[in-house]
Amino acid sequence: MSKKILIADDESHILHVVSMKLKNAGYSVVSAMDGEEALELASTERPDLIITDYQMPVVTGLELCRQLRVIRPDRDTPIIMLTARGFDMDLGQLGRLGVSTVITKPFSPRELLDKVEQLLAKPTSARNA
Amino acid sequence: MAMEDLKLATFVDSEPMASVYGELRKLMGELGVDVGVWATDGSESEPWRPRCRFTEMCEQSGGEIKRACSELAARAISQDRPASSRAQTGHCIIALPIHQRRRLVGAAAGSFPVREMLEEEHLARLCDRLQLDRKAALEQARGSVRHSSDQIEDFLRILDGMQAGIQSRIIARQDLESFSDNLATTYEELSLLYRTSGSMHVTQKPEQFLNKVCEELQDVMDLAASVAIVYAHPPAIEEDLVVISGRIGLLADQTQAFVNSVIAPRLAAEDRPVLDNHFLAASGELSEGPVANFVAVPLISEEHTIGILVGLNKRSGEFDSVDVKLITAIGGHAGVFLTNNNLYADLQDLLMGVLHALTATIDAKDPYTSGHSQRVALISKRLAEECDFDSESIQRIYLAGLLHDIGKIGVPEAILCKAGRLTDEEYEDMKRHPMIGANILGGIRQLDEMIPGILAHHEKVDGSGYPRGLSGDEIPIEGRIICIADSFDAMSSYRRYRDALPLEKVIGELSDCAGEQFDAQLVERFLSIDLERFMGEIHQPAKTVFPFRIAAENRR
Repeated sequence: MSKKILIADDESHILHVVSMKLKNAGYSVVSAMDGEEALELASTERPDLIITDYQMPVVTGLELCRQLRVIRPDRDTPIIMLTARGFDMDLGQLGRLGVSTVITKPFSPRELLDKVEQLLAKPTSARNA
Repeated sequence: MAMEDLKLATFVDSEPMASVYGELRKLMGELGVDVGVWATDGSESEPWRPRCRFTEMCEQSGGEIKRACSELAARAISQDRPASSRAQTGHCIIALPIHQRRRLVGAAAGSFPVREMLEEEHLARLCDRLQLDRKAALEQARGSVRHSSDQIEDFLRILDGMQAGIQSRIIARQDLESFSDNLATTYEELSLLYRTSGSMHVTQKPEQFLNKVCEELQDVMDLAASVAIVYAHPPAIEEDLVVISGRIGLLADQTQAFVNSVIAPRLAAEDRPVLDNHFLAASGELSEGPVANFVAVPLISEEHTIGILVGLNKRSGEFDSVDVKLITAIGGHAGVFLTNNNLYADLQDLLMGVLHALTATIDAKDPYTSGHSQRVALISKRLAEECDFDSESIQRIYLAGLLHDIGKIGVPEAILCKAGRLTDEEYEDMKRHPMIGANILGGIRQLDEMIPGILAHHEKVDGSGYPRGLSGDEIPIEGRIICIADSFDAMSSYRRYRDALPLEKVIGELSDCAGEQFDAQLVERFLSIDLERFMGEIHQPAKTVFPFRIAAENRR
């Protein structure tokens, strides 16, 4: 069965571009337009990986990561964070919240796909380490 | 933020949703169903206003149908599923929850009168209760009623399909708008990159290149101003070069001072692009200052910071990583351009130095001809300018003038420095110098273009010159120009066998020989120059080996 990826971004063009790239690579994709929707989908859909924007309405990407830790402390779904900030980001804090990679906009969809494949190729135990 | 702080309210983009509801009401109305939309808080998003005349008649006393719709909408919202009922009047009522991106945002509810209401007994009861005129009511009802109550499920399905269709069409349109918007911005950025990388001709002046870069950056990034400063590094850049596009309420030197004193140190400290979206808020003493936010990158040449590129006051919001990446790429281009430009200027400088040194060795053989080559070069250049030649030709004529006597290296010193008249044999030897010069430089591809001028500078328009006896237009223009310059400088300089001739005498000689030795038109042009002043300029002792920087002045 193909791996499932959740992508959350309030910019629909990002959602579409990333979804298309991932679907073409054989992943099944669910998308959310804000953090709240993403939070719901994270629990109902149980994605293998989450890609989220940093700044989103209702629930920010950061808050989404924090909530995920609270709701599912047992799971360590890898998270890729997309951001237009790229500066003043506390990488340590992001790491503690389970963010594996930060990618600044504009990004190459190809690079993002590489990152996804890298993260999903790792055995779970390695991610725990 | 704790879970309970999460705002669960939906953020409905009200404008496009209003158009969903409007269209829904219109289309359902055409099917004979009067539809209204209620939001989750019970407020009416799209008014239920009957276009069915019979319904309107019934509604005039009491508003039972609307109330039924609103109540059913509330039920559909609270149960989050479709619902149907009958109003007291007998109207069928349907309601459907509406979701937007999986979120319940309200419910659409509609009503339609049904055939059963036309039954005499039913209609009589209704008219009595609502105090309606039976005849008029019957007439309206006959004209309005189109459906029966067993179609209620069908209409729920139609309503659902319709709202989903309209909604997805509007979302698709919004998506398309956002895509187009983004694509346009991306195209602008991409074409800025294409343009800067495509316009990095090394022969262009740094100021020109940076001006264009700053203008385009200001435009594409929507900045109040953009600034490029390149620190002095001769020979390419003599003093700090400051290029500003746009205005931020500071004078040019204030802007330069601000960039140098505030932004440059931060750039040096952080060792990466610097972005400050809250500069104005953070700087206490400069709270009234004109700089609100900025983004800056260093200009790097061979691992050294040679300048700085700054974007000031983004007009549309804050700087983000897109801006940082863009200005970093543009700064990279500028760095490469400046590096190449510097290398080019360096090479030009070296070439000019070598050529001047080479000609100085000829002039040094005879102290009386000291500086002659350089002056002939300057005079030729001036005359070429007077004739409106393009800058490339002017540079070529200058260099040919500088090198015109290079062949004298092959003429014995005894002849060159002989005090008295030359014998015929000696004169023949002397006449070989244009050919020798052409041969010496013939091996240097880059100096090929100088050869016609060097070879022909002793040809005369009447055909009596040497080495080939060319006449009139057969003599290359460079040769005709250098010939005048050479003679002018020879006559107006001191020689071991005579004093320098006074200027009037020199001018007289040139005029007399116009059409014989010299090209008459060129003499005319030459004599239109203020020669007294010009001579003062070229006879000044040169501060350096190089009287002027051809690299800087003549580069296109």
